[in-house]
Amino acid sequence: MATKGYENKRSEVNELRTLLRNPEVQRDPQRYCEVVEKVTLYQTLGLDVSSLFSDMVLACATRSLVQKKLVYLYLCNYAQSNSDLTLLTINTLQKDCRDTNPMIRGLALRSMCGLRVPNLVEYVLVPLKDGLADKSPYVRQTAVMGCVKLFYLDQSYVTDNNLAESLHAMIHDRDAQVVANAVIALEEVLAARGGIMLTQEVAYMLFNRLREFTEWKQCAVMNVLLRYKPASDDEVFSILNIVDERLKHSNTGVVLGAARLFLHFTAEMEDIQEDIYERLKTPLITLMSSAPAEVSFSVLHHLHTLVKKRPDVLAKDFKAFFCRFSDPAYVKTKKLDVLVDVAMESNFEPIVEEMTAYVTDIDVERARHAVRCVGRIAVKVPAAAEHCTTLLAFLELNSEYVTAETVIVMRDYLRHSPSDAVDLLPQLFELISPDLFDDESDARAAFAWLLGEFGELIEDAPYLLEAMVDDVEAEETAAVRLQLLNSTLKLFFKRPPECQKMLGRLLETLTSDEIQQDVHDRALLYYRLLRSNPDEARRVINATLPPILDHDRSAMTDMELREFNTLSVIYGQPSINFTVQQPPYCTFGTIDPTAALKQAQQANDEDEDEEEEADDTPSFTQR
Amino acid sequence: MISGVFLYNHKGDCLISRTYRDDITRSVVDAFRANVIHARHSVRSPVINIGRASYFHLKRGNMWLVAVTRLNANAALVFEFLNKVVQLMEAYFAQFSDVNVRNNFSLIYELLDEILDYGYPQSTDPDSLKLFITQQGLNANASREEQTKITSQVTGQIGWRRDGIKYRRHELYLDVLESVSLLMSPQGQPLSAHVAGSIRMKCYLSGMPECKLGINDKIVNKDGAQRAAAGAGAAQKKKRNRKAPIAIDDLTFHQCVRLGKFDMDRSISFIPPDGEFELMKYRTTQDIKLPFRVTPLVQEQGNRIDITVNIKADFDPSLFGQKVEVRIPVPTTTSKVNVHADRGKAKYKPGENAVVWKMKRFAGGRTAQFTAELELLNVSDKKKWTKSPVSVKFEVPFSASGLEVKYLKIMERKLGYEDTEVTKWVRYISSSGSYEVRYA
Repeated sequence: MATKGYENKRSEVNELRTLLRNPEVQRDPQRYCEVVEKVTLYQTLGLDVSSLFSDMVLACATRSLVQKKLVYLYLCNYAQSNSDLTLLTINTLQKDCRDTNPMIRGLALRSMCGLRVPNLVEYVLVPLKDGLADKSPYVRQTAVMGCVKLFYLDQSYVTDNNLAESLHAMIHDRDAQVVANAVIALEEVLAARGGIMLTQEVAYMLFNRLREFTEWKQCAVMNVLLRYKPASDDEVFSILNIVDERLKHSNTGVVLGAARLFLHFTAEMEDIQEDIYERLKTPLITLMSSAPAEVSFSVLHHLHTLVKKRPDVLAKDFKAFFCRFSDPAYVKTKKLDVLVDVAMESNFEPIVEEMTAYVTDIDVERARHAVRCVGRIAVKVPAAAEHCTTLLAFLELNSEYVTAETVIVMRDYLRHSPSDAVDLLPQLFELISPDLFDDESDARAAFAWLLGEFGELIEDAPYLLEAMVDDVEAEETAAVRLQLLNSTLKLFFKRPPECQKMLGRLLETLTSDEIQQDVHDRALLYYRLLRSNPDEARRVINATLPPILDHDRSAMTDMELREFNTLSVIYGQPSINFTVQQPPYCTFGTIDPTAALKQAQQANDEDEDEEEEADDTPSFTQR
Repeated sequence: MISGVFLYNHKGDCLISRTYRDDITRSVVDAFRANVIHARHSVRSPVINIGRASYFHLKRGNMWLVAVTRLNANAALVFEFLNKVVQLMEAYFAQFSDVNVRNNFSLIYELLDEILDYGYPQSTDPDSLKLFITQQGLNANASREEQTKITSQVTGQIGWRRDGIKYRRHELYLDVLESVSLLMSPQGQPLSAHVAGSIRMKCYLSGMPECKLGINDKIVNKDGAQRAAAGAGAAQKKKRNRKAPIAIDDLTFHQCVRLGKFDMDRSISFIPPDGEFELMKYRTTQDIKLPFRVTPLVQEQGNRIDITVNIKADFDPSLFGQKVEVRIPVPTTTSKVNVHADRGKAKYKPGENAVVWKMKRFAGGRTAQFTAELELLNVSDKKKWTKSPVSVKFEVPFSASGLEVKYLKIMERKLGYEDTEVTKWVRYISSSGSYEVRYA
């Protein structure tokens, strides 16, 4: 039935109307239901079936539960645009709210609250109040959520009718699920006042009943409980002892929710931080290695946050981050990043070895990423720097992109610790020549940079550079041209006799460049500088480079810890950057917008000077 | 939380669309299709942000399941939820596929209506949902008593088990399923190895039985440090020295297990759900008995490559490994393959660039050898062969972690049947997770 509908969908709305009105169809419950199903199908496909509204209203007077559900679904979708006709359904809905079957009572109440027609809310009040006092917990929990729906329809409705008070009373309901829903509901309804009042009594009750809630509601309630302020350290410990068992739950959401409580409540207690991290890492590693890929991916991000804060705690567990062949690409990429951050004196050797294995990966992107990671480890861990020979070994793989990436990494490394150049460069230049990376402009620029910076150490530097200078006309990328210009000038001051001629030629070519204004201007500037005052030019060009410092990422990490277990950790951005509204349930952790913006800008600046981070930050513009 | 749930097939047709909150419009359906399903580059993250809305997606087979939110939601939670939805659908109609979704779309709408209310997940337990959402859409005529019972199970205290279950024969099946993962270096050293195990239970017991399970768990008091720091004196853990206790790195339990009690005295006690369920999951990394040792050897000579793979079964000779399958990747430029295996069948699969060597039964302690001679095409650009690892699949009837079920006691106070009246079965199976050995 469903498949048939797909082929000739356009012309069918009228036919459906005829069918719905056909008394024969109406008499046969099964056929009637099938026609209603068809309407839902078209609705899903995006067809406008709103013209059938009045016929669908009639179809809701049925004994079939399936048909009822589908009609209600239809009504909730189109009620807004047919508010007058919706009035006709109220009667049936109200009758259903008094049905003997709690399933039907709940269904009718849920649909009634979901109609979204402001002038009908008055009819909902009586069934809703009855629902809140219903003897079936199923109906009660539905009614509680109904209050939230009506709140968004008409903000004053809840206060006018004292619904908040009723909800407050329901926090002490006998049934756990009703309690959880009441907490969730109050959190939204009272968002303007900062959410539900968490007195010690309420908070303790929720902590103690935590295990009775369904897994999903445990997460929601734990989020609310973040706002609770324990009076003393002892209180914190007794709370954490209750929450501790949540870390053994098999649902990742629950475990991360509990982890956030741990981190949040102990944020000020420096002395036990290490124990806390020690406690949290085991369940997270388990989840990472056993959960489905997408879940594993989000756990991995949270582990990364912990690693960034305290690499020492996870240093021994580095093997958990080794890539498996079957991991999806996004997991592998993230694992490499985590490995870089977990690397330290004690464990870098096996890590670098493992990275080397990824360099031969078929996926070009990952191979490059692995090379970059080895470079980052070399910069980060001084002891690993001696292993730069590993990098040199990559050059023997005879793969164009690996060679290119290695040269770039070498440049970054030598920029960081120029003193190693004496040992490394001769070996490096034995293995590379510029024709190895014809398609890799970044690598050509890096190559030229090395020649300019360390020209005195490389015997045939002028000749290598000259070859590139002669080809400068064919060079299309501005970045490479600018770098060539800089390098030639630098080398000129180091070895004038060998370079003078080619410098002249280069300046001539570049100053006549009219397409790349930037290149043209810079060439002209240097030309004039050299003409007017060569000593000044030497001072400008041979200025000592400022040392590279590891930039401080702790502000970002702290943000991620504050917004633990949310999307912020995945995106690596504060929530202000990617959400429109503030979720009512995490008002506690919100940072004031200006500070957040400043932080975000800072983060963006950092991203700019660190290429590899740019890949995994999401783009927030509509393409 | 979740503003909408959508289901697409591989072509990008939206098969199911259910919105819960007003902060999204139908345009999200198209936005996701354009940015992910029809995107030119494969998307490198399962969460993406388009126009300040976050799209969580997972692909199973050729179906896409998507949840959309505008809030700063808990990512892991949403993914867990989506996975639960897939499981639920599989519980209803076996395979989560295009055809099945189309044929059951009204059922799916019913489910989505029930498991999420205004974007907040409610209950996703398939057993209780199956009571009132059936494929026939029945149950409108159930007696009043039943109706109340059903809804009270949805919300009740012991949500996972209803009252008044009766069986004539009391039976109980316990499966210890372990998946062994290994990453072996070319030199034969395990780079990383772990066992992800689960204990599944199938029980046919009357009433509200109290169960108590004992396993040979060496109490590595890892959380002790934290607890001591936390100042609570609850660390009343006794060291029990039984035969070969094992160190479990981490444990998680089904909702029914009393976690408080477990923390007190490490006893696993619970009232089980009716039928089949997963009691606990665990992970071990120490003293893993690797069931198979695999040593691949590659010799390259110009256009010829010789591969030799030796495999040894490292377990008790009285046991038999089953469905052993070794997958040996070969270069894409392979033109001719000669294989020889002294046991089982080996076959070259050109489409998969691999030789697959299958053995139905493999006794413990035995070894097997396999050789392949490959001839390569003469290709002008000599790219190096990127060697993906040799992977092994198997099933062995023992527990690789060494975990053992010591006892399982059953008590039912009301009906008063004895522990001895219950027939109990225990079975151990270790199968391969990702069992990979890298080439030299």
